[in-house]
Amino acid sequence: MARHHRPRSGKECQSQQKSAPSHAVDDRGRPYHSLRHPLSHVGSLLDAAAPHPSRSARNHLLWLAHSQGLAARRVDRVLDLVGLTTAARRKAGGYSLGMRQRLGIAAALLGDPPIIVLDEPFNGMDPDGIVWIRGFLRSLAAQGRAVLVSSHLMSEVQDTADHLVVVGRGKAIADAGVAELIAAASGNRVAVRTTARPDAMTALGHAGAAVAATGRDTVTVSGLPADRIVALLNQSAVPFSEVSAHRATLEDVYIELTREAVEFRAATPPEVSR
Amino acid sequence: MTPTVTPYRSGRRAGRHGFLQLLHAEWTKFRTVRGSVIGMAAAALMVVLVALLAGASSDQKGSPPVPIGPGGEPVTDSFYFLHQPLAGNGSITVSVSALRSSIPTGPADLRPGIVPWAKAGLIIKQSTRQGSPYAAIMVTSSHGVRMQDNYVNDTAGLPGPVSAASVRWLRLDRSGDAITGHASADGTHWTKVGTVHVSGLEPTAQVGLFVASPPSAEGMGTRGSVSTAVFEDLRIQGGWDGGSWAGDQMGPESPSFAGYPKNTSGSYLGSDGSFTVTGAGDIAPAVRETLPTGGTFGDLLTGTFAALIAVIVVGALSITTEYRKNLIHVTLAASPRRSRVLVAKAIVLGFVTFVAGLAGAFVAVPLGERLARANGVYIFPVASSTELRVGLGTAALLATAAILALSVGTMFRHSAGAVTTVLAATVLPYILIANPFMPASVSDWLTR
Repeated sequence: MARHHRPRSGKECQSQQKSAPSHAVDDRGRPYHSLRHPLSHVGSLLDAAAPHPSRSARNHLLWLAHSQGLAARRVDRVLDLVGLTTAARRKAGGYSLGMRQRLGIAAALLGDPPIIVLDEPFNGMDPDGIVWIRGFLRSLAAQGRAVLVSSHLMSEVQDTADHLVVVGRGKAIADAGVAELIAAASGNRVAVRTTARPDAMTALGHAGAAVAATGRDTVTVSGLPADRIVALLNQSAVPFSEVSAHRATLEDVYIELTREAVEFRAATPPEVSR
Repeated sequence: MTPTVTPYRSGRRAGRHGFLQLLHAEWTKFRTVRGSVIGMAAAALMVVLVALLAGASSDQKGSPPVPIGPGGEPVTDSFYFLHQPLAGNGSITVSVSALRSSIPTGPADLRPGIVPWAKAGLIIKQSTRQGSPYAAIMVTSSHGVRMQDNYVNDTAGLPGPVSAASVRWLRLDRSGDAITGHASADGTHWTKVGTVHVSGLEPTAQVGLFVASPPSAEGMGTRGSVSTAVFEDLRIQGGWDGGSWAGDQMGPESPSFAGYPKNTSGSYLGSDGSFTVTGAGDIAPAVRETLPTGGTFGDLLTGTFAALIAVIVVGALSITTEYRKNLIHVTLAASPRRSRVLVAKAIVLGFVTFVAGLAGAFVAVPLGERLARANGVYIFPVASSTELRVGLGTAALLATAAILALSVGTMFRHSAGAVTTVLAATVLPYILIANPFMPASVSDWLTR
């Protein structure tokens, strides 16, 4: 994080690389304020860009480029990358939030930095914009850049991030890969849809599984693999229409984590409630 | 799911680090906000427009010409002159036993007062033409005996005021173009005050007694005063043709003559070497205050006040907008050293303001001057180096005000607060003294 920006409280997802100490951003541990061209080390979007309302997007990027000793063609390049070329010469005061987000992302990319920090980049984006930014962030990460995104939108994070840090009450309460977290929250549970719920619960319970009713005709089973469940239900002649591995969403993970408010580590997945 | 990719290396090479880049960035910032550019252009335009307005609105057509002294400078040459011709060399002596001045304190209310440079004495003058060469020895109200010539030269003689108990004898001797002044406290022991060469003095000149009484300063304005002197023992030796004395008000129509207070006029009374002479006016270089039809470069540049307001607004907003829009975060992310950013901002702002001010002044002065002259206004001539200095000074003033506004804006982080504070500190004193109801003591303190 840039030195003068204190991290916000909230949830933060990050990919690949852990955040650097707050006073240093580059791999040699140099403090931010001593960097020659800080925007070539870390690019950030912090306030949905904060352009002067009477300055155009292009001119906003132009002065930033000049401060880093960059040429104007780099400005046109990043404008093109974020799809702002056609609006680039209009005053930023007339931009929508989504357009300002794109401008802020362009500013973050200006110095071609290996680290990119984006605060709530999905805010104000239209559906097209969200689809675009999802793919765009993945492509930045695929180039080997560390892309740090803070967001409250769990569904977007689930689809975009590799690694997740959950911050609650100022503390990191989770720090693990997204896939790991979801798998852990899912447990080895299996969802069964049946019209004879009590029979199914009895049959599976006798076999030693933990069974919980989750709906009028659905139960969640843990402690038994799916093929064993199918065999048991057939044996007891219990009708069922669906047996599937239960998959948690990141939202479930988040709610679970913040409700329990226990420290969570990837190495020791929490006990799933039975 | 963590992909195995090699960490990204920026394609950028660390170029030359430079403060220049920061200046470049701040310059780009400045020129890409239309409001700042318009504000600066408006500041320059204010200077020009007010000069044009001053030139075009002043109407002194048909006013009498300003007397010009032997050195080419504008002069005030108005006084009461009791004179007669003196041919060739000679000498004139007189004693002065009183010099009293009166100052109007209200309509038709004349009170005795001190006019420090009220003058009474002897003068040898080329002619009664205004601006003609002269040499004179005189007593003054507060500056003792002086010998003066050709409007700009002044030598001090016996100190102290004149009264019946402390009479001053004065003497002028002419020898060719050399005129020597003597003063004495008793009429016997004479002290030489000085010898001056009045070039171009013709063989026959006007000699005699004179009384002058300059307007007294009062706050930002002046009031005409009148003085009366008592002369005795008037003697002339040399080429005196024995004619009679003639009393004349010199330069009564001159634009630099403030005139007599109400119900007073120049006069003389007496004969046989004893005279009481009353006069007003002054014999001195003309200045703005004593020449109502005159104008200075400073008058033409009055628009600087309006320009001050414009540059103060631009200067303050150039930083407060950054705070208001959180743009400062972006600025500091790009250039993390706050002091360097502020210095770069101040340099760019100061430079731009300086250039705008200089351009405004250099366009305003010749245009305003031409218009004013066409309307009969006398513009005090200045050396071109002075003209340059005035232009540079105007530009520097504007630049300083802009940087001050920037600094205050940085401290306040609030547009209205910063603009108000700086305006109050810089422009308000001038607005206050322009108020005619402001007590003179307050005006004097504000303009000190």
